[in-house]
Amino acid sequence: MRQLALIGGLAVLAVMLGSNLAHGQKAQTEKVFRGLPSKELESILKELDIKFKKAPGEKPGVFFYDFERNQFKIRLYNYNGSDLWIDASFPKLKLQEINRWNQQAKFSRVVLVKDNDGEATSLESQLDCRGGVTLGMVRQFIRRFQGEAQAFAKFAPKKKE
Amino acid sequence: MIFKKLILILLLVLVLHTRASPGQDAKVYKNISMETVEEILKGLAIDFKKTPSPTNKKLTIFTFERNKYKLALHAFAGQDLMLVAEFPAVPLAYINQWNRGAQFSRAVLYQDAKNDFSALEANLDVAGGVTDDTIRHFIRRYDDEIKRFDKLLFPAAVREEEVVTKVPSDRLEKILKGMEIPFKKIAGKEADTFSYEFERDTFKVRLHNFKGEDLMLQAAFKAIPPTDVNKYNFNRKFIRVVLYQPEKGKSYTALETNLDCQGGVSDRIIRYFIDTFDGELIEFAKFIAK
Repeated sequence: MRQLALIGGLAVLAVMLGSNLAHGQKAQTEKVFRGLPSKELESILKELDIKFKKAPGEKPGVFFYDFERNQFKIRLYNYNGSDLWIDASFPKLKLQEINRWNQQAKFSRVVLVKDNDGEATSLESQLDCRGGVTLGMVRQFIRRFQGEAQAFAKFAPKKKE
Repeated sequence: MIFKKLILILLLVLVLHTRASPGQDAKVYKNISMETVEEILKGLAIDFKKTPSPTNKKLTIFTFERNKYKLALHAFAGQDLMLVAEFPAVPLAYINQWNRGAQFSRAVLYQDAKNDFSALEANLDVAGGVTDDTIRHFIRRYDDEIKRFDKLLFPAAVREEEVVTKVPSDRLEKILKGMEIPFKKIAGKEADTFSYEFERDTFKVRLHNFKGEDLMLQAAFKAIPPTDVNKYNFNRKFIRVVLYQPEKGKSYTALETNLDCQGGVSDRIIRYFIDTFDGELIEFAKFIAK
């Protein structure tokens, strides 16, 4: 009898779990920030165990955060809380190769840029916060870029030192 | 000698008289033609798009980007002008805070079944008589207003909203219907992947939903050289321009943007994602037209 009850209970649990999976994640209420204050961004970086160096940008209200992740040097900009920009520099690629990455990319783009040493390839992504962002979106944005950097490093000849 | 002095005095009087009344020759409008509005905008190096209102024959709308803000200049029958910029909806307390202190603009919250945004509006009554300078000043003053308004709204605009980490088709379709976007739904090659084709202001747009995990907006334009593709990507945020050269068929350039939903998005975030692509389409169209 106990065994039957246990099997029955497990069966009900399985149906409920299956139902949830079939409909995707349930909606829940969360804070949506229209603009991301520095304090929130820095909490997320600490939560992700990212040791960063913060510096002011050229214009007031702009800050950037330099950190290293999986041997990639990454810079994250916060433009007055209204948008985030994350990038990593790689050696120069031909425009055709850059376009080839961009054809298959979803969460990043690659741009040929001029830097102190001449020309380089910038792997970058931006997040527009003005329409609202959740903290989960920001975490995902940072984590996702790390994945993009790893994938691009395999795509490109070698990473910049 | 006296004659020379008299001529000098006469010249001095003429110069002073001209300086004393600089506006004497300025044309005063009590009803402004659309051609004049266009000339003034061009004189301010404003690259605009002119559209007659579909609902009001007397209304013409000029849309343009200024200091990275998307503005609309409404011209009502040549008798009054209104500048409008839209912002995401914010609590009424902020709207009221602005209106208490503002002199030359007003903030309005538009929130109902179809609308969910704030707007900063400024009006110029032409009927009493204005000059070209009045209109230029009206536009330049609005530049300052919009920056101050944006700064005011920003820091503490936080709302509790329903958030999902996966956007199923029915949720996305409800959003499109709520935005009054008629669409054609096409099943993708992979399971649980769909595309929605629709038109936005004469541009053909495709919205892809990849298993509810991420969305992508895409529009095709004529092919442009890789150097121009790179130049555009260098100068713009939030989008990606890509050159496609299929083995069969014509080459084309795609303007693309993505929204990663897995971190958690609300309906308002998705609407903003779709809405702001309109501006990107216009800007890219201008770029490739040059």
